[in-house]
Amino acid sequence: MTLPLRRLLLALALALVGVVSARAQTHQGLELVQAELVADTTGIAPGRPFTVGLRLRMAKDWHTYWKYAGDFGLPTEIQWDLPAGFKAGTIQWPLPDRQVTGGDIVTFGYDGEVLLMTEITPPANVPGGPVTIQAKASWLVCKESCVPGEADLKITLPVSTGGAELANAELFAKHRAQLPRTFGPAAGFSVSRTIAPKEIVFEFSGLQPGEAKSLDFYPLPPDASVVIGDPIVERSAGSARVRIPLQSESAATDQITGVVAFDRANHRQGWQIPVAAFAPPRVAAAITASAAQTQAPGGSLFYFLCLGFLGGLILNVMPCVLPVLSLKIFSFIQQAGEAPRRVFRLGLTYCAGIFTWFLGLAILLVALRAAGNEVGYAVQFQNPFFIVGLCAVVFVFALNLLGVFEIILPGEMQGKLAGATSREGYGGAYFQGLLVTVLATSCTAPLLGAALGFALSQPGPIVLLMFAAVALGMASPVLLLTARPGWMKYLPRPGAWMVRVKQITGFVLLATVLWLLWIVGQMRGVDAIIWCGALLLGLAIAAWLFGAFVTPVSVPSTRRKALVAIVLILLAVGFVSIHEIAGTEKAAGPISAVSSDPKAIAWENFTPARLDAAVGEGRPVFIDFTADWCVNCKFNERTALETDAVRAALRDRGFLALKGDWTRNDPDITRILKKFQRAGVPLYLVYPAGGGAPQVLPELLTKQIVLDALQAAAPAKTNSQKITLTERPAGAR
Amino acid sequence: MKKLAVFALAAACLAAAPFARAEVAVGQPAPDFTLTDTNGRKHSLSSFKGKYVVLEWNNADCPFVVKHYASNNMQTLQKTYTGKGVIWLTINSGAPGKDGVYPAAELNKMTQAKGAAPTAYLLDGDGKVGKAYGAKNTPQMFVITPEGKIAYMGAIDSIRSANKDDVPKATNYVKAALDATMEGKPVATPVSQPYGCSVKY
Repeated sequence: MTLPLRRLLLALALALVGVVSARAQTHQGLELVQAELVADTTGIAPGRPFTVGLRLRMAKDWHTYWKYAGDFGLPTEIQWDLPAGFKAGTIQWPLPDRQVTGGDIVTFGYDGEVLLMTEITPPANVPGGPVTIQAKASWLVCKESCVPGEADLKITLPVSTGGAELANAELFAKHRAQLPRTFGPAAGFSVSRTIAPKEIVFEFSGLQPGEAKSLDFYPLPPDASVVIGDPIVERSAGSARVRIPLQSESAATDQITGVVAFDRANHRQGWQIPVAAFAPPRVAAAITASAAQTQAPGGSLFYFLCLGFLGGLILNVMPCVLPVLSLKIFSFIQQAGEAPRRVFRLGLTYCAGIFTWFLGLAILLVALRAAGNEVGYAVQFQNPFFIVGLCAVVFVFALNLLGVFEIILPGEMQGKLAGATSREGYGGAYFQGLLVTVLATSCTAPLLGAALGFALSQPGPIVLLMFAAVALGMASPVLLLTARPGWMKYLPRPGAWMVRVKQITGFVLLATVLWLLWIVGQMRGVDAIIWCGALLLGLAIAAWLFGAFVTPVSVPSTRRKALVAIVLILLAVGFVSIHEIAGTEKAAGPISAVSSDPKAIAWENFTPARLDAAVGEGRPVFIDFTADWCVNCKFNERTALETDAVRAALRDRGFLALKGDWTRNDPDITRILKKFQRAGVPLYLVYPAGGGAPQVLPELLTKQIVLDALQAAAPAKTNSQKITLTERPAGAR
Repeated sequence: MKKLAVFALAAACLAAAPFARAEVAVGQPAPDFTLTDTNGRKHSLSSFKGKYVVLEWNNADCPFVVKHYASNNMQTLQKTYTGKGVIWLTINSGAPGKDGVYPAAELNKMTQAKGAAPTAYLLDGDGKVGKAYGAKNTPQMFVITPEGKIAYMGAIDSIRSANKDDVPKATNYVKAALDATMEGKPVATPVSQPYGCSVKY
């Protein structure tokens, strides 16, 4: 190949991929900074924004600076020279590092390499041919001494109406991951700010120990009239205090904010705190108040225990408990004719079942938390095998009530044969208590959410104490009734009619099985439902064999054969179906967030970023944290949320409706629940237009509650003003 | 017993007092110091009571200092105000061997070559005075009233850059502070965020 031809080809290739021109800054023979412009696209599509980054590569130990440089240094500046109609945004600054020199001289800058990204928006009509974007970059690079540098850079990109592809993806991804997000409720921690005469203090709470340990803060004074000293970070277990000395008395002191960064999930992440986060005093007050509650449990522990007790009491009449409520009523009626002492002992046994479940759950949660998991009150419902197991237990219970089989203990045989109905045994009572509670834990009740949410932020013993209080609350009506059997005389007398009641209760439990199957299907798809159904079929056969051939009157050899067959069936069906269910894919994507009903609320999936962005824009937001296994949630959605009035209010007042689905474990949602001191769903939040603290709606909604909250949050659509935070770095001119 | 406790407390307070760093703030007394200049003469701040004093932290190799000397900005200020009886003390707090630290004779030559006109160029090699004032930058400026109180502290001017073309466009805070206090007016900007290189302690 001849040289000119090779040059021509090279020029063509460059014209295709974009011409990159790099410049190096040399000082006393040392190359200090290499500067170049890089784009995240191979071509410019008319009207579509793209990003150009100023890539600075510094010599070892030399630094360039962030938008607030600290004690010395200067932020890097870029002056764009763009073709007509092109617009450049502001510099997006990745998280800086903190450098300390001379003992106490602190700067915020970049070590090694930085990509300062700027969004460029081309006009809708770009004349054909390559486009050259030019920029004059100027920076200060310092080690011991400082050297100013500047470079005229350019990048040429072809115009491509369709074929533009991503370029430098890895480089951009690496530096974009270091861009701070806007702090918002989804960040999962709280911040408060106190302005004293000589210092400004930022307090961060609700952090994981590892997060607090790695926390650093990069302050952003609004302009040069505000003079601050170096931030001092005091880190403790789950919180951190950042104290910044104030050296000036400026009216703009309350505009001081900053970027907080720490390691979360092995990545350094940062949040820029908007000044608006502190603006309305009630917000700051609310945030600090909730932080104070978690920090000082002493005085309020009794209060929360009372809440827990009342919550447990109310749990008895929650929709999620309704299917088994009939079971409880049934056992009362059954016991009406019994000896008072036996009734009381049965009551105690039932309560023991309740306590077993709650305390067992408390220990499990404390253990999970100790292992570093984000936990909530209904975590067990996020495990499909738990649901399958529960399904099987409820189904077997239903079969029992329908008379397919009876469990008869040898000592009770006489009574069984004589009595018209079977008497309840201690085992049954215990088991009922257990089952009722297991189902009850699929939802939280009014007061209960607050109490458990508080408890989960506390040390282990308090968690146990709180769950005991809830168990006591739930058990108390039964305890009272059974301790005073005289009250039971108001219940109808037992008789043959009870067989019918019992059978009807069996069908109610079968309906509960349907609900559980639906959850299994939502989690693991149709195949999982079918295999769960197969498991139930096997259980039904086993139960029928037991009822038909394992009776007190059957021949012992038949009984033995039947028992062997039952065990074999249970093992085979159990193994195959569990194996098959385990093999089903986890259902991906949103679970029930999208509805095909055109009139339905236009839910979007909740993500922390979506919420922060909307709150940052000042848009009112309604969030529904729900789960498929949460009957209260579904009840609220049907009766209060998906109603014409609420749909219209959300639409007309310009609300963003977000749905956070906690059916499967989602750590982001768990963090939010924790922040609002809730242990589980439902949780409803209404963020007012123009920013500010959200209103938390009660666990049981009525249409009116929702409508009032929506009206208060966004008085009229036109009022939803847009709040734009100006981002003026202190160091810039 | 109680008396003993009170005595112990008082003794502890007295013992701790010398270690408490005086607060450097506008309206507060400027910490006193005695330093030797490039000609071997000692100067104490307290000996200048009754006169306006300007402190200028300096490092001739710093591009931000160069900005204000190459533009003749610093020399003009020095000449203007020493002409009005102001004491102008240029201070170098760099440690021996660090950037911008030269033998006294060389510093004198550099001062002459630039046409600089401070009252004295003081050497603070151990950085004690720089640290007492919390000086972290070069240049960093202090204006002290005849009563020995700080009237201004911070940057030399309002444009934070190393580009000498910015000098005429900027508001000179030192000039503004001197002019205002001399006329008995309040200083519009008594504190600003200094900018420049780090002091090479």
